[in-house]
Amino acid sequence: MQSAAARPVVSVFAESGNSVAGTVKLPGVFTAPIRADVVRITHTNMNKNKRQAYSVSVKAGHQTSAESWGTGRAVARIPRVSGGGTHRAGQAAFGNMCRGGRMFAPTKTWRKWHVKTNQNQKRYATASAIAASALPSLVLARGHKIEKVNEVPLVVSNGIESLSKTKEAVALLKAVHAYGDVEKVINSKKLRAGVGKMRNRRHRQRRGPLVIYNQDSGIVKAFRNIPGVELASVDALNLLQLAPGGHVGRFVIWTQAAFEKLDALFGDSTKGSELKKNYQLPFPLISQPDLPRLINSDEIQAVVRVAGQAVAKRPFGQRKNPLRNRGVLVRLNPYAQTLRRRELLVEESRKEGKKARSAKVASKRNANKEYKAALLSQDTA
Amino acid sequence: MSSDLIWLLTRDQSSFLVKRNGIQLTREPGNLLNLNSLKYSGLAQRKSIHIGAAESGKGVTVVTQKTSVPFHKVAKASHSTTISKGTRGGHKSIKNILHTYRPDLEKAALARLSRVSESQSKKPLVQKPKKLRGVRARKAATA
Repeated sequence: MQSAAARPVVSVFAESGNSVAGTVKLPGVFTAPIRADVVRITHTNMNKNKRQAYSVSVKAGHQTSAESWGTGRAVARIPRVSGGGTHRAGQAAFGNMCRGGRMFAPTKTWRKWHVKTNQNQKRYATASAIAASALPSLVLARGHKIEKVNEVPLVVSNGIESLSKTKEAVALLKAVHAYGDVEKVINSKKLRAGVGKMRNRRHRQRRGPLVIYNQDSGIVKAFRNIPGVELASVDALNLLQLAPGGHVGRFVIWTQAAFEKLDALFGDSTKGSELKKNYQLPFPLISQPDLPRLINSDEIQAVVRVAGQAVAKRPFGQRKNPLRNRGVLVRLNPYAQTLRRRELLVEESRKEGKKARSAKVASKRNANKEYKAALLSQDTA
Repeated sequence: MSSDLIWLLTRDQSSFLVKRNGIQLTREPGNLLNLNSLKYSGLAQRKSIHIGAAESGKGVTVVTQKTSVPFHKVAKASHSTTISKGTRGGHKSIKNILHTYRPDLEKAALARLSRVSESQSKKPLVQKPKKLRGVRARKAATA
């Protein structure tokens, strides 16, 4: 996947908020390819490296001198607790299916807890995550509230590094319209589901902005108590903070000095890094990721064929059933109309004939009736 | 910013995505059908249009993106207006906006406008006074 479009300069905002104190050149790392897959894999691996070993006791389920009774006693051959005088005697032991037995494949403290990740892969992921933090759509998609923020990436002048009071830090976040993201964090605080509650992980909450500084002249203490806000030194950038959960697009607030140091740290497309040995930023495989722009470019348009007339597959709307729709039937078979007309004529003539016949029958019946009546009246006379 | 790149990065991984009961929808502002697709995406498309109920409860708020402002100036890049002309008048205004901005979204935009104004036009349920019966009715009649 490809880079974000390179932009020449980024505004540096004064601590007062809206006023622009100056501009900085956009560091080359922001043009690194955004590889969500690399970030995800690296995050999964790196996330394993802070785990604490745990296991069941090695003795668990084996603190008995049980032995199998062998065959012939009409019970299963599982080891059974020896002796008498207590209910435990004669009960099955050791097996993972037994009450009081050990678990299946007991966990060991010497499990492979850590995963080594190649350094270049980690750097690739970090560069990707930094590049993604400059695209508002991705930051929004991560769930940060940045609708009112003036600019992304958000760079604030160096004075912020010497803030020492949290009150000032909150005022600054409000001034640069980043406090909405903190409010989101405050509102998101929920009691954790499950046993983690009693293992010092009582609450769950969202992540807020990440403040990246160059030199700590009080900034860490000023910001660290604000819910969701995390701090990182630009010299020790951590993928777990830049892409929490393996999802790129963390909302990052840079201090100017930290932002300016990025070029020395990562280098750019032309020169390698100054601070990392033999490191060259990854570059995107295609320099122009904007597909419509590629397709509409003069070079492509010059070699493609001229678009022909659009051919409608079915000019009329819905397909009509010719067996039911007579108009469509006639279109397919013009003789059908003659047939139908004849059918109608025959029907008509039959109806006419039937009418004439029934009239005839009725008149005969009437004549008959009159004749019979006349006969009867003659009889009585 | 390439919308194709953003789309590839957000189609499977976005805080707005809702996968439930076998259907996949998305909640991001600027998505007229709340459908997780490139065409309707409010994140990936440079030119998106958001139509939602105005905060006052009357009319709709229409948010479009300014192409003259670079996309990374988030706060300034969008333009918001409130249309309170009712459904028919609103249709005309929205057609006028989309005519040059995103003609392909016209049908969806008008459908959304209709739905939003329909939801606003519903009157709140007023409970009828209960008809009195028996002793209370007699009391009321004498009083």
